[in-house]
Amino acid sequence: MTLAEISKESERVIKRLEGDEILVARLRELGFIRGESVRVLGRAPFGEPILVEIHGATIALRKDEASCVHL
Amino acid sequence: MRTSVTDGALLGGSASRPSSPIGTEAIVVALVGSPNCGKTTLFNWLTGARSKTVNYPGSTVDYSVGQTHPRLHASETEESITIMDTPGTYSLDPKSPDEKVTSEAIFVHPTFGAARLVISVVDATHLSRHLLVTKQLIKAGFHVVLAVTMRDLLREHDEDLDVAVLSRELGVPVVLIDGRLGSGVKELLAAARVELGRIASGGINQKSAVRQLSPWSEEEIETVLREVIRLSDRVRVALDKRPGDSEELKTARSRTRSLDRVLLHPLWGLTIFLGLMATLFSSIFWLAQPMMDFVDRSLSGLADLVLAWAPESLLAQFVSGGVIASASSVLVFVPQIFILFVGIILLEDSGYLARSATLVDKPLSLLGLGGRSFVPLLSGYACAVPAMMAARTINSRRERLLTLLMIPLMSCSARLPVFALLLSFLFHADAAWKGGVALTGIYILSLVLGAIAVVVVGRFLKIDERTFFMLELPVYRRPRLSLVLRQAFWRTRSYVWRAGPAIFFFALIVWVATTFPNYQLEDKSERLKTSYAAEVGQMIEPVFTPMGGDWRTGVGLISAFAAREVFVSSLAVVFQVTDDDEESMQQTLLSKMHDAKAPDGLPLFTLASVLGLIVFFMIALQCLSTFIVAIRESGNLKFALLQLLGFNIAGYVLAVIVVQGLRALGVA
Repeated sequence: MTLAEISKESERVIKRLEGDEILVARLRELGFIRGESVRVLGRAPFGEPILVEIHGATIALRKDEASCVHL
Repeated sequence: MRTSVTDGALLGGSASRPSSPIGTEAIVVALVGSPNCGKTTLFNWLTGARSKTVNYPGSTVDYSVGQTHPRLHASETEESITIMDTPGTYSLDPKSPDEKVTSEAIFVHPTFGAARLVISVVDATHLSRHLLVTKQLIKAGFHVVLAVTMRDLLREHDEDLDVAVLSRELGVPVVLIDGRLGSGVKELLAAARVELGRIASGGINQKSAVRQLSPWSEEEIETVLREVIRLSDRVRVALDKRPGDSEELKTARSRTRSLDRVLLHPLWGLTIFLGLMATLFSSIFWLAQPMMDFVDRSLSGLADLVLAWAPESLLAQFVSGGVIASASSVLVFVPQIFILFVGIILLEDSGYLARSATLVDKPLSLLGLGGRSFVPLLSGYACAVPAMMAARTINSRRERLLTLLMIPLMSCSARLPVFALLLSFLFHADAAWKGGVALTGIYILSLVLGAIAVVVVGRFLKIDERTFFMLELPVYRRPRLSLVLRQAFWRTRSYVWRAGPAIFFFALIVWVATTFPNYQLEDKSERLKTSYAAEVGQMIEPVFTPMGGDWRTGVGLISAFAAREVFVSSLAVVFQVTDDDEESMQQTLLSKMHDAKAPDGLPLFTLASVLGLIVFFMIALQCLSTFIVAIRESGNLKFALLQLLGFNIAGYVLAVIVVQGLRALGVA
C-alpha cells in the first residue's frame, strides 16, 4: 500500500521508498524515511495534491510522488 | 547537461557580474537554507537596501549580493561584509541544472571562490527537516553559523529554543532571529565576525579546507535525518520546563490545520481562492487607476510646461516629447506594479501562496504547467515584466519555461486602451455592455490561446527533467504591513531598473523616428506624415494590406513597439486629432476612423480589419521590455528570440486569416 492509496486521517509508518530516483531522493530529503509515521490530512480539490503530515509539517504531494512512499 | 548554463554564457555573464566594491578579495558570507525559511527576509535585514541582484555567471540562476548595513556595525570603523543570498534548497546534493548552479555558487563561485563562512538559515518550526542542509554544510567543510528564524512565532507562544544545546550538539554558533522585528540580526553579524576572526587568526588554510560534497548515500541521509529529528526534539524538550509550553506550538499548527480544512476544501477552498484572486485582480486595476492617471497627468503637464517655455527649440521638444514622454511610459505602470507586488507578497508572507499553488496544481498540470504557475500567469494580466519575475519561484525548469511562454499572451493592461478604442469603434452606437462582454471575451480567449501555445510548444520542448510538486505548506501567519511595503518597494525598484532603461530607450527611438527629419514643422500631423516612421510605414505598406490596414495603421503598429498603448495616441496624431481632453479626443478619433478611406477608396476601418487588429494585439509580442526580461528569466536567448518572432508572426498570420476569411464570407 502506498501513501497515494490510504484513506484520510489514518496514521501509518513508512516501510520504504520506491520509484523514480529523483522523486525518491527528494522525498527522503523532505523527511520521508523508513520508520517515520505519516498521516494523510486530505486532498486538494480535483483529487490531488494529497496533503500529508510528517514531523508536524504539512506537505502537498502529487499522486505520483505519494505513490513512491510505501507503507 | 542541459543548455541553461551554456546559453546564458552567450549572453555575456560578464555584464551581470558584480563589479566593485565586491572584488575577488572580498570576504563573502553566503546565506543558505530551504525555501520559505526566512532567508531573504534575513538578507534584507542584513543589507538594508544596499544590495543588487546578479546572475550566477553563465546561467539563469540569480541571487542577491550586498554589503552589511552600517547600522548593524559595532563601530564606524568596522568594515562591511559581503553577503550573498542563494536560492532556497532542501539539499546540497543537486538534482537539476538550476540546483547545481546553486550549490556551485557556494562551493566554487567563479567570482568569489568558496564562501568564507556560511550562515545556515533554518526555520524554528521546521527544525527537524531544515537542519539536514546545515549538517551537509558542516560535513562539506564549511565554517557555519546557524541562524534560527521565526523566533517571533515561538515567542507568540512564550517559547524559545535551547540555543546552548543546539550549539553544543552541532558544534557551531547559533543565533535566534525574529524576521519581523529584525532582532537578533546584530548578534548574528557579531557571531559571524567572531568566526571570521577565528578563521583568520587560527591560521586555518582556507584553500586546503575540504569544501566539496560527495553525494550522500541513502543510508547517510537517513542516519543524519534521524539524528536531526532527535536533536530538534531534544532542543524542544529542553525548553519544556514550564508545563504546557510545547502545547503552544501545537496550537499554531492546529490553527493552521483547521484553517486548511476550510481553505483547501474542495468547495469553500476554491470559492475563497476565486474571491481572493478576483480581489487581487481588480485591485490591480481599480486601486491603481487613480494613481496611474495622476502620474500620467503630472508628467504630461510637465512636458507641456517645458514645451511652452521654449516652443521653438529642439531641445525643449526633445525633453518634452522625447525624454519626459519616454520616462512617463516607464513610470505610468509603477503604481500598478507596486500594488501587484504588495498582493503577491501578502500571499507569500501569510502562507497562502503555497495553498493557492496546491489548489490549482491539478488542472494546470494537465496543460504541462504546475500550481506555482498560477500567480505569475494572473500577474500577466497586469504586466508581463513583473509576472515573469514572479515565475522565478517555479522550481521545475520545464514548467517555468512554459509559464514564461504563456505570460505575454495574457492580456496586459497596456493593451487595454487599444482594445477600448477598437471595441468602441465596433460598438459605437450600441449599448455599452456589449463592449464589456467583448472585452471579457478577449480576456478569456487570451487564456485559451495561451493554453494552446503551452500544449503545442510543450510537445516540442525537450527537457530531460523530472517535474515535481512536493510543496511544504508553511504555518499561517499575519503579515507585517511595514515589511510587506518595504519588500514591495524593493521589488518595484528592481522592476524599474530592469525594464525601465529598455522601455525608455525604445520610446526614445520611436520618438526620433516619428519626429525627424521635419521636426521644425508646426503641424504635428504633417511632421508625422513626413517622418522616418511614415517612410518605413509606406515602404512596408504591402505587409499591412492583407490585414486590412494601410501605412497609417502601420505607423501606429510601429509606434506601439515603444508601448502598446502608444498605438492610440499615434493614430490620433496621424488623423490630425487635436483635442487635448482625452474623452473628446477619443470621440473625434472614432469619427475620423469611420471616415478614413483606404487607397482603393473603401473604408479603412471595417468590422473585418478592426477584428484583425484586435487579434494582432492579442498575440503579438510588441513589448521589448518583455523580450529583455524573457532573455534574463529564461536564461536562453534562443527561447526569447523564438518567442518574440513566433508571437509576432503568429499574430500577423492569424490577423490576416481573420480579415481575409471574413472578407471571403462577405463581411467587409
